Amino acid sequence: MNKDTGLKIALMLLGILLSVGPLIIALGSHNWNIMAAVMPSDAEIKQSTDMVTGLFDNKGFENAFSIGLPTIQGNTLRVTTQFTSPFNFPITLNELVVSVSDQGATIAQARNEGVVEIPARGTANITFVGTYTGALPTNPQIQIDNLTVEFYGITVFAQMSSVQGGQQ
Amino acid sequence: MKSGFLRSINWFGLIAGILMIVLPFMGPWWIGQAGTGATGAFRIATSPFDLSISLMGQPLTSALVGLFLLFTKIAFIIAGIFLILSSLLPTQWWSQRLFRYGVMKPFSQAVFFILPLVIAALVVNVLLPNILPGLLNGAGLQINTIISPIAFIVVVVLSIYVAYKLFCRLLSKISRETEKSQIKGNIILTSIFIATIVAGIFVFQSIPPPALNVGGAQVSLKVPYVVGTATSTVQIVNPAVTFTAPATLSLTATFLVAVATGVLGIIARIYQGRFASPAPSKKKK
Repeated sequence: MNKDTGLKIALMLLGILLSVGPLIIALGSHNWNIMAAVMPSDAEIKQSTDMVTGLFDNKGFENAFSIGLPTIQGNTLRVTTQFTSPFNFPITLNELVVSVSDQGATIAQARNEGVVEIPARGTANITFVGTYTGALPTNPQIQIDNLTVEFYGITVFAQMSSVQGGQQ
Repeated sequence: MKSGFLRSINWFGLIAGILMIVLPFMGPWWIGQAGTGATGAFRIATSPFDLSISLMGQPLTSALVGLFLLFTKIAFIIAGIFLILSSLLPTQWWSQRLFRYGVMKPFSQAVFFILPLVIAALVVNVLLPNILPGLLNGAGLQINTIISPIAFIVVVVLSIYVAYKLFCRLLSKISRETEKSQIKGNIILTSIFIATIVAGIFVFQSIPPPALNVGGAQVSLKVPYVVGTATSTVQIVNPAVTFTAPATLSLTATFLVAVATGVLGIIARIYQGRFASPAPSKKKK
């Protein structure tokens, strides 16, 4: 065997070692379980699933609002609420349109005043403003008609009817 | 004597070799992100040496993939060292073999790095619209609906592979100083293949995504081919919810360095022809 052939074989073995090596090390360190070697760890998967929990249903907004005392100035009704985010990530409430009801009857439609940034699991005060000419509501309730939420640049527009908030 | 040594160096190979040692530490070549902000909702930053995936800021890693990428990094650095040595001493007996081991690696890495990105975009834009409805509506996989998109993807992948092989053959002919008419024929053939692939990607980029109805939800998936921005939407009818997600894909400056290294490697390979000794069989004669 001449030097050139020796070098050729050495380079070939180096190539094989560098290709097969990671496979053997990864499988060997995971008890030869190919799924465990390929897939992310259970802790990582749990962290990721925890982040998206509640994202694809309306339950995230249930009981998230607590309503303060409403005020009336002229024919403008203001309802101040405190929103506690059930989400594990920050969200931006771009638009939130609610129906305000009192004693079971809808008295006004109101929308949020300005864009609201809410940190992960954080709280924010949201003031809804609408037009109303009657007496001051005694037991106001709100029901979300539609909302536009943004998280990580993904925009969600939802028209809902089952999400409600009650007085504190 | 000193100037003789300097003249004997394959400078293109030397610079390519140095870049090959630096390149694995220069960060991702391509970044794909769904959503906006620092991390987006989903983010992939990758190169042949690194892969970083995060879902809503939470990293996802794979031990096997991580090790493969680490070994690719080591192989690339070794190839860079070989290229430097063989470019500095191109007339040594071991030089041609070490040179050939490393010189085309940056170019092939760049080509075969782009290939899976094109395949992934084709799968999302061409294959998924045909298989998702059947899978999610319980009808299962309909062979007649998936055979043409799969055939199309295979044709695209084979075209890229053939273009790469033709280009390598062309380089081989140039470095061996084959007759000009043969080289011309190879250049035309290679150019036609590459132009067809690029034109095909531009045509597909402009085709609007087909609207899908999956379990009552209107789904419009669209990802750009390798670079660009596109918006995908999922519209659920009852309750009425619409998700809108922008996707941004971009090649980084590091990829340009990789391409430059690949081009230097190609030039170095052509230039190395002047140092090549006659074939062993001829020597015997």
